[in-house]
Amino acid sequence: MKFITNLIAIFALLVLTAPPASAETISSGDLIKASGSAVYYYGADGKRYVFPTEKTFFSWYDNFDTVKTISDGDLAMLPIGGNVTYRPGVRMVKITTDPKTYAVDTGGVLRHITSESVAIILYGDNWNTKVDDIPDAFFTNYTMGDPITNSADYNPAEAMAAATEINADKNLTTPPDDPEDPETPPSANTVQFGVSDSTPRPGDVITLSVTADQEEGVDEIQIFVDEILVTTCTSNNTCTGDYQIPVIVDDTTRTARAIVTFINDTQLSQEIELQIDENAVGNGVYIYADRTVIKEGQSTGVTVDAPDIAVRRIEIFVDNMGQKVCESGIRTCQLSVAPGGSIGSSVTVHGLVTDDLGRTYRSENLVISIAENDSPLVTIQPDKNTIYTGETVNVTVEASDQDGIQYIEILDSSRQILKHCDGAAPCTYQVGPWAQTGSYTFYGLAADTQNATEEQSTIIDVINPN
Amino acid sequence: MKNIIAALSCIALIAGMMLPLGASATAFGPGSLIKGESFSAVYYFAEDGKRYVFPNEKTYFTWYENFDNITVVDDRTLGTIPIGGNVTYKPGVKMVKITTDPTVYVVDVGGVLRPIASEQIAETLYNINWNQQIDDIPDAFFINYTMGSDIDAAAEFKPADVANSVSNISENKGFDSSQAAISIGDTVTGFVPSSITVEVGSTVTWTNQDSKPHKIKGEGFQSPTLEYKDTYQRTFNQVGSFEYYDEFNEGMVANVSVVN
Repeated sequence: MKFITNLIAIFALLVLTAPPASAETISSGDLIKASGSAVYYYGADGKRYVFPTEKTFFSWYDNFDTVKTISDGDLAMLPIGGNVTYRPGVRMVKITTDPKTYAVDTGGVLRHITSESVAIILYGDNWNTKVDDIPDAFFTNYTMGDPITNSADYNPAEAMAAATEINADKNLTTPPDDPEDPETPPSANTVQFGVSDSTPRPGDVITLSVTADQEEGVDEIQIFVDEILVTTCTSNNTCTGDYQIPVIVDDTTRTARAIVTFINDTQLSQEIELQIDENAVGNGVYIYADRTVIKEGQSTGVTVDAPDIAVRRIEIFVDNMGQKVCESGIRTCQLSVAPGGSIGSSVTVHGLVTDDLGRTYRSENLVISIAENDSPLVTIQPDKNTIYTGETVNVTVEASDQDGIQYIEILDSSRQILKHCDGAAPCTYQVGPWAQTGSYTFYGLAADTQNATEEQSTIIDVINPN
Repeated sequence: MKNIIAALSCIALIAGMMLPLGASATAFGPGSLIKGESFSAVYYFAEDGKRYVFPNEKTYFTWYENFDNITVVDDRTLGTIPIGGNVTYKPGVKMVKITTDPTVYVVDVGGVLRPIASEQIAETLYNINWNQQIDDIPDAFFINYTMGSDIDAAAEFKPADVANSVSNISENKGFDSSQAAISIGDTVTGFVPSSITVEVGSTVTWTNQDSKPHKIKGEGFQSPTLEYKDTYQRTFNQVGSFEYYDEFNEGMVANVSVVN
């Protein structure tokens, strides 16, 4: 019955969402308790922190003298923030089911002491009397840090001295008060600073412009890129200046800065970060290959073309290794790429163009892959498919293949070779005449330079002329 | 005094690491309950290769009816397996509160506590004797839970449905069932577990929990040298039994059994 009464009281409290006004004033860093025996640490974040074991408490405090008692209701209003961990440096800890011994570092970080000799240096010959067992269920309150393999990695006395209070150990801070609207100062100086291109290439000319506004007016506007003064405008609320990005780029970022001095002697400066894009991709540099899929041992021509750029130099890279340089000022550069890998492998080719001003432009990547050999494409075609007895007819076999055709053959139905032609030229053979009517089969066969073969057949019908 | 003895035996164990006693065989996997030979505590072994602590018996009995089906491993082996965290209540089964705060919570999936806004709702959810369905969670374990939104209407939470929506602790913790993990111990404990069964397509992660380096070699797979805390991963896409060993300590042999 008592239980039920308790619970009713519980919901009564829930309904009365009274502000947490405490009879005994408590402040951050206090130890608190209510009618129960448990003692909590009152953190700077307004939450209470649980001491999971008495040993944890005594690593921080010698006694319970400073504990303040508040009402059960007030305690209930304070949410639990978490568990207090051991004070750093004081004791070593372990869990019963794992022989590893840990030192405690700031913020509940456990650091495995990897050898007994290190433990002796840190905690003396009787180090093993300074190890507490942490119940398994509280092990998760700690986080794992770097192991201590060397006694210089950790100093117990320093760790302990640095941990003066739980707030600091847990890095708890006071949440800001209810954000009342801060007084907005009357809007005064406004500066708009813009750049035509915030990712320019070396050699590009960018335009920097400033518009400033202030009741009393503008005295002077200065525009800088890094520490170089680009322009100064006086007694004007707008200012524009051009700046050429140096061709020799030592740093890929630059800072554009506008400094505006107003009549009332206040100053306002704004900055824009410029990212120098040394290798802008696709800016008028084209790359193509005769074939992007080739066979083992083959090569293919690759062309890099920059028709709209005042080319000084074109370089072609295969897998980022420079393979060819064309420097005569022509806008096209070619390279025969022979990857030399096995089936399934590929290489990546790109071009890099440098123009007269030293600006560079990079092509897209082109991938050339090595695939299995394909059989030739073969066609066999008689001049006529139907002839009379006594007539003859020409049969022509044509073949093509990316590797080139080694030979073409025409065979009869019993696979006797009727004609052998070397090379890729069409191969023609006259068949017939036949005395008997019937259907006669012929085969056309072709082999490519890799010895892959393919054949096709055709049928010639021989009929009686009425 | 007891403390000193414990600490001394601890040093003896560290020294014992040097003796090649031969790895003990251990067969368990994600979802197994394990305990040490001389410790009473039972742990849940999860897909991440870590053991999860039941902070109290009440938590255990929300998940299991008895202590059957617990794999006992030797203490050294247990010590090799890192602690991953604590098990929380099975969702839906009970309501919980802490002693020093009258708020009553339902437990939702993933150890999320949701305050019940009124007694009427509590009664709708857990019937007339609802107030006997509330467990006190010790303050120190409250941090294992996270706070969710209030239950303002009974329709927001159906205890039976929520309880049925997770079938095991791994699901409740959101572990990926296609993962498994093995700890690499010393030459005494060997690989932990030394025999594991996973479904085809599973990824197994080995983590060196030993201060000495190890190097895994198996049929068709080989790890780089793994220093303390280094990991090695392999996905098993074929059914079969895959034996492997430590190249630096060839007595450390174990196997992964891949099934459909």
